[in-house]
Amino acid sequence: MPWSVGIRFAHAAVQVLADDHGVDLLHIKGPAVDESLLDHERHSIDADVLVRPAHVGRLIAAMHEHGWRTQYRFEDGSAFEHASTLVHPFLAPVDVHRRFPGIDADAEVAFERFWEERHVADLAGVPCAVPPVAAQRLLLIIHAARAGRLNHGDISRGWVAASEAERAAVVEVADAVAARVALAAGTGHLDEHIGAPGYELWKVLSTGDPSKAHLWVARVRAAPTRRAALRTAVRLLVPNRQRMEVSLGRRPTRREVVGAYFSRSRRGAREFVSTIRATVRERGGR
Amino acid sequence: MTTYSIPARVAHVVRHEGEPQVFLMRLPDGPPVVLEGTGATIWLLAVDGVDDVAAAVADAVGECREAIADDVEAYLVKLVEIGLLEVRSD
Repeated sequence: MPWSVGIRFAHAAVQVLADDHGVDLLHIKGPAVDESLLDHERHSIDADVLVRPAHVGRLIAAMHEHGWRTQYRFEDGSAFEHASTLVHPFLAPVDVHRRFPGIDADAEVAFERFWEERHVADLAGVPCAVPPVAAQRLLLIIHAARAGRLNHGDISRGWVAASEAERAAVVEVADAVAARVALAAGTGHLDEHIGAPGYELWKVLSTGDPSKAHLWVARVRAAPTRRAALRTAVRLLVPNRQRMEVSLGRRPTRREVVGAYFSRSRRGAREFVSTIRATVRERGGR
Repeated sequence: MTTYSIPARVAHVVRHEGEPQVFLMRLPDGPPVVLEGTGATIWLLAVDGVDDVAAAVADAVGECREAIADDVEAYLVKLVEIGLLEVRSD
């Protein structure tokens, strides 16, 4: 089965499970993208869905009952802990998003904003809810910005080639879901947000800064609370056993985990410690 | 004449690179099935609402209807039995 078919079938299967279990979800990226934002077929590696946060547990339980297995939990994924990856014996993997990096509004509020203006797209013959086109533009732009791919076609089509009215609609959505900094990172206006929460993180991400230490610093400083900052800092230091297991194809040995820990420690311990100290000092009152 | 439609819980993707291919999957569990060549053509004609699928297939492959009608009918029945096609009720 061609991969592109497996992705469409994964979207369709998840939609049916959502319908059966009363789960609200929106299909994003890949084949769910509106035709007006495409100039060729998108080549995806997985199917992405954004789920109403309160319904995430229900969806994942339903998927587990139908042959899906959690490969990465939310906490095994990126530092944003935004998505969990589920795999299936013959369908493409599904990334279940409980929020979208760059959107700082409460995840339930942001989901509802997209949900109330949803459209329906046909994926493998199954009606699937997708965000409104302006929100799709926003998601594609900030996703490309997060990957440091400012020349990506998603930004060209989603912003550069957009009309004034289309850009205004994107900005309106970004304002509604607190994504102006991330949007600015993707559209070349990040300097207008110097000093804003998240500015430093999106500068590092969108410029593709290869320094892991810089990314540590930026991610820790972007955390909304001291508790979150500490959690983020520790997460970025400690090797992830689940990712090591997938990479190795077996459970890592204690020696390998310890080796990875010290490898990370040597690379960034000095920056890590100074970052924690600085963050604690700066956020002492929060 | 019997007419057919796609069951609501069957995912389908059609590809036309060379011979037609129809990928089908009963949702949510599958397994996926691929129809190729004449099999894909029969499914496509059936879900397109063609009244006499055997005649349409015969026309497409340059045979007389009587020579293939039984085989086409048997194939359509099989597709219905395994849930990849349904008889239209209207």
